[in-house]
Amino acid sequence: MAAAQQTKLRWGELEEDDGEDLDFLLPPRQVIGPDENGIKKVIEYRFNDDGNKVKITTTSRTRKLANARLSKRAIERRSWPKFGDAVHEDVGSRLTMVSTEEILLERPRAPGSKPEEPKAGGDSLAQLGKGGAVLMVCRTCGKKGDHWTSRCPYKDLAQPAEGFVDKPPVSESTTAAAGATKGTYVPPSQRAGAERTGSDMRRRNDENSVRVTNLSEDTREPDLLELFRPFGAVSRVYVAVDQKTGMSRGFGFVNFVNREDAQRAINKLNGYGYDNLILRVEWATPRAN
Amino acid sequence: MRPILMKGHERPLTFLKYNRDGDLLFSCAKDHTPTVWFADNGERLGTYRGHNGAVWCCDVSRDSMRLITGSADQSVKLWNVQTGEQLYSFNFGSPARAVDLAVGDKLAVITTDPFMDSPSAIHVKQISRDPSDQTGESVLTIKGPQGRINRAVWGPLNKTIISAGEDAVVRIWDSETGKLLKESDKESGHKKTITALSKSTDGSHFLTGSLDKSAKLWDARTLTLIKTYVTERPVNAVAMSPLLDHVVLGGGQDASNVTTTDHRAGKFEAKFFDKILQEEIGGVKGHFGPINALAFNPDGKSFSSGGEDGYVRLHHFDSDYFNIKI
Amino acid sequence: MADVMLMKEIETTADRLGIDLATVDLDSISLPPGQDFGIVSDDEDVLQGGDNPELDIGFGNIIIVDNLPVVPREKFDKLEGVIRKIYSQIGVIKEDGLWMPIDPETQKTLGYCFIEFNSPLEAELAREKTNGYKLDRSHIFAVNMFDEFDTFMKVPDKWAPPEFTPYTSGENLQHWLTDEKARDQFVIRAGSDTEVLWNDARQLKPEPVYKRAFWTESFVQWSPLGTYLATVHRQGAAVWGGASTFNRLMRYAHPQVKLVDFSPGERYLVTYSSHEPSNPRDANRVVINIFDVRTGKVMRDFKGSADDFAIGGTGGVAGVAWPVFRWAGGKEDKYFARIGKNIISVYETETFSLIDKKSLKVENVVDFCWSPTDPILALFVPELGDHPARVSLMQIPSKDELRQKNLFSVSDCKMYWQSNGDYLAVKVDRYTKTKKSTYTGFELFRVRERDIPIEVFELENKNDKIIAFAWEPKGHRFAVIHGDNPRPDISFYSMRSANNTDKVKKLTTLKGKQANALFWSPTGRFVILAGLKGFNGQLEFYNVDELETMATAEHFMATDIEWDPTGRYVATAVTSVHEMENGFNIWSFNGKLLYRILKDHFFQFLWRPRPPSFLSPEKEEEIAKNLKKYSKKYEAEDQDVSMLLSEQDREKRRMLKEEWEKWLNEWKRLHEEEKLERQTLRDGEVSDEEEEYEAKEVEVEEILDVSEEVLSFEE
Repeated sequence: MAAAQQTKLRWGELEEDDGEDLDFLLPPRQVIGPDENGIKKVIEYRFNDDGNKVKITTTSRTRKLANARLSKRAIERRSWPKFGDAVHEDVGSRLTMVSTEEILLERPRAPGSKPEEPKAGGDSLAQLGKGGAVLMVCRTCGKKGDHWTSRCPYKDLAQPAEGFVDKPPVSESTTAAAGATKGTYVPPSQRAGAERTGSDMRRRNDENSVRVTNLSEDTREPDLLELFRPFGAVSRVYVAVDQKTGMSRGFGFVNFVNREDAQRAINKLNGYGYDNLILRVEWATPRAN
Repeated sequence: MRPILMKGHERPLTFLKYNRDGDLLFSCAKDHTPTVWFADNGERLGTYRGHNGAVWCCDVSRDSMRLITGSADQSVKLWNVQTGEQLYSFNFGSPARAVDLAVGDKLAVITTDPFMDSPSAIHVKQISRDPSDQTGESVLTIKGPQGRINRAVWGPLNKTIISAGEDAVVRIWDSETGKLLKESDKESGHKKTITALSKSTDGSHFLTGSLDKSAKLWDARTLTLIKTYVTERPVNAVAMSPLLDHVVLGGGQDASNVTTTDHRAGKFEAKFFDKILQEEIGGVKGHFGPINALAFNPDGKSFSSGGEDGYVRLHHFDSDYFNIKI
Repeated sequence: MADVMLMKEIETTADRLGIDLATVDLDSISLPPGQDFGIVSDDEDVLQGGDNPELDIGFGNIIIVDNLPVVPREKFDKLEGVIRKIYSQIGVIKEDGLWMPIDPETQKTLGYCFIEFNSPLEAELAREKTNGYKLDRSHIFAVNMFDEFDTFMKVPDKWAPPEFTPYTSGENLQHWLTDEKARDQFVIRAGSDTEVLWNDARQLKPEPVYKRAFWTESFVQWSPLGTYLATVHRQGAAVWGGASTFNRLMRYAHPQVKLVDFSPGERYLVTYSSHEPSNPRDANRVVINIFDVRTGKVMRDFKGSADDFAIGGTGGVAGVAWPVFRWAGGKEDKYFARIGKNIISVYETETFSLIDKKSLKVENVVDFCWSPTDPILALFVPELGDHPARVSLMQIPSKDELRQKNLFSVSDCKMYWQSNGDYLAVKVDRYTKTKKSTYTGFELFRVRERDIPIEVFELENKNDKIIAFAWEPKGHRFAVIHGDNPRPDISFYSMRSANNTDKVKKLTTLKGKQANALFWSPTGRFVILAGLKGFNGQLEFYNVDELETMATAEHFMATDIEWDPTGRYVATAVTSVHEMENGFNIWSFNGKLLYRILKDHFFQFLWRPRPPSFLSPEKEEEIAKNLKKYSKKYEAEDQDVSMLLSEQDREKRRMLKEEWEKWLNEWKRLHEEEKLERQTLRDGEVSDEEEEYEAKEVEVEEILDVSEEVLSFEE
């Protein structure tokens, strides 16, 4: 829609002030372009609150998104006036916008190949490598202290010997396999062969729950899992996430099967540098002993 | 592709429908106000004010002049598409769920939910050309199926009505007598609530989606089960491409998974399947919540999805899409 | 010489002479040997179009010496004697091979003579050496080949502009680079066949491009940027290339050519042959020609004895070290140089003559090599008397000495440049104090830094024998195989260290490896530690970034290992050195065996080189950073499942599609039948009509920037 951009303040001003009278003092609105790159500049003037003239330059680019074919009647409909809630809308309202992200039709993986690592996990882990921190465990080649799984140079080569996810038997459909990405924590109820309902509660082992705070915004369950696994079997991880923004709220919980493992984890990781932040690791519920 | 995001609704989307020419897109949501958008650039044209409850479904006449909407406020309303003016309101004793206009736009099939003592029902109403002649009389009323009827559509030549709902059974009824003609087989049919139904362009076959994480393709005349598409999420919406042999499924998660599985922004996807081979082709991510509505533009070059997040995402396909090999 | 005559003229002449042409069998007339008047006979099986008469005519060993003094009879013998003396120094004059024609009228010499040698080579040599020879001030020899005279005589008096052949655009010789699947080609020779194939890693087999039996008589060689494939034949060399197939692009006459070499920019082809001399005690005669690749023109030739060309540590007694001419790196092919006795002759390709018209005098020089990227020569002069050994870097053409270092107690030295010309490693074998054994050290020159600092580097165990040394291409690391054990150690070093102290830093040492050769990937980062020969083909794929082994494998009895030009794949081959199991294997860069092909009598495997990338370093960096974005697209292609489908799956699909077709047809049929009814329902409105459409572009306006500026009051 190559419609002109209007200063959003115009509406308010015209109706309220007698600033209207002074408009003739302002230079006229200029539209420059679009040039061969489709770049258009709109230069407008208005008065600000102090009575000074303000020059507003809006640079925009018109990009072709797609081709459409419109029948005659459709073209007629194009000129229909707006109605309902759309009546007072100006074209520049932010109701409709083009996504800034490029979205692809992502193909599923061929059977047997390893799925993609979750992106955020990868990033924070990469930074971790730089920060010179902590225990790095690679699940693919099993090496400790060298690199994280997502950085494993052999991630294409080797199939993980033991993923946290119990891999369903090979004959199962690829969709199931693709769905369980290696890094994602699959709740016990979802794992193949697990008993459903009821037992979930018992497994939780709230007593061995460790709270981790001061997590970075992209930290997710898989990251915590990798961080805490070296200390022992982990039954559950959880990272609190803000639904609206999708960012971590900075804290999470890790449940160990064994208390001793949990204690060791707390001892080792409390105060540890992770993704440029110092972690705080403690018992989730205050311990008497 | 760069999808166009339209945030006109405050509440989750429930249904999407393109008009026959493919230049308008109608959206229904739980926020009581169906909206119409230009289907090429997503610019909002207008809203239809009048309902007092969630709007579950809609249909538009062939000439794009009339819109019919079904709402939880127990009414089904007829609107002037261009002006937004409400032309008529059919009132029921229970929330209206599905609506569909017949070939010729002279008849509409409407379903109502079970409410208090009344079971769910299928109503056929006559639609007059001239709104002033419009009456609320039902031509036919069918009662019977257990549970909610989520979708009902006209069969070929308006001779039959096809319904599907909570009891996971697809039924074909005679549209004149109201007699039950066919039922889907329990063994091969869906195992859980059928949430969505979408007809092919020529009406010869249709696709149903269910919470049992599958979608099934049926012949509209014989109710033969032709294809099954399996996914790992409960299906809330289905659509068939009018251009390529693709089937798209949209869905959500079981509530029980919400706290334990990874949440990433924009991770809910519309899954594309090869219609004939029943194999997954790929997925288009972007929604922040489960996808509740899907619709293909009649020209097959774009499609829209509506989510629990209140967004409508309009996608114009890249040339890559048309070259996909499986 | 005779002009060409028309048949009519022959008839007229025959009439005149009274010969009845009908009785003359024209075909039986054969010309006296060698006097073909310059006309090519149809009968002659002219080799391949025979456009190089020099090859076969028997007058190649005769020269004409002109500008001789005109002398009377008395002085004949004296003159003849002088000439004989001059020329026997160059070659052996054939029996009765010297003829000085005499003017019958004046009874004096005509001022020129004919000399016949035993071979064309000697004749050419004689011509070369004596053309311009000053007998005395007024007599300067003008020497020409007898055959050439022919050509000179034929020069028409009138100058006619050369024929204008319309421009036929050639094929795109770089076409192979545009392969959609980004595959690389390689050439193999097995038996009598030579084949060029694509390496198709997705399909796990090679795809043929072109095959030809007896394509070459001995070996094939790619040009450095991959544009041409050179073949060698008895009469000379030829290059082949083309868009989708291999056409012969040019031929280069050089009888009995043995070796060929391209200049790095593919502009010139150097060919070499060595011939038995007439005098068995002499060294072989060596002929080297430098051709312009595209036109086939000889730019320069070099003739001489093998001794002239055999200087250099690696030449040895047996013969010449090839390539004799080493080119200064880079695409321009500006300079080439060869080593001679106490000199380095550097030529430039504008005029194909020595720069500054003279060679570089370097007393006792034994080895030299160019930097791969800059016109810098590295020279090595061994110890001589009081002078210590010396390595120096010299800039061409200025001949400035950029850096030099004296080395003491050196027994031998070898120079290794890093691929970007950033570093030069000089491996120096030194005598121990007792002079009984040697130990090895390295002088590492950092060529890019100011003043070219040199660092002396020794292995931890100085006495370890160095078995192999290799720079990481495009990188800052090098690998060394060293040790005296049956299983030597391999150490990796980096020229850069963490705190930039300009010292070589050791990265790691791998102990006890079954390896005796190093093969770095052309892009660096990965290296194959190979155990050839005695180790029977052990392969270890090693990642130098992570200092980890990626895979170990074996190709039993492998003789050759070659990375593809992109560094994605490795080929290991067993050539016919062994009798059994000839053939080659293709591996991925991390050691996964992709496929193997067995071919008996396997001689050569050569990847087709690629020209360097046109991308600027910034662009390359950008791509590396956004690799995820780019790789997604290729990943999708790679997983094109249809490629991996088994027969069974294909069958299943076919059946599904067939079934679907049936449904579709049924529906279409019904739909058609019902069409009329539908129309009635719609009150007669006809459906499926093509309506008028207007094409429209969906445009979207993106806000790039909004800026506000408060203007001053007066404006």
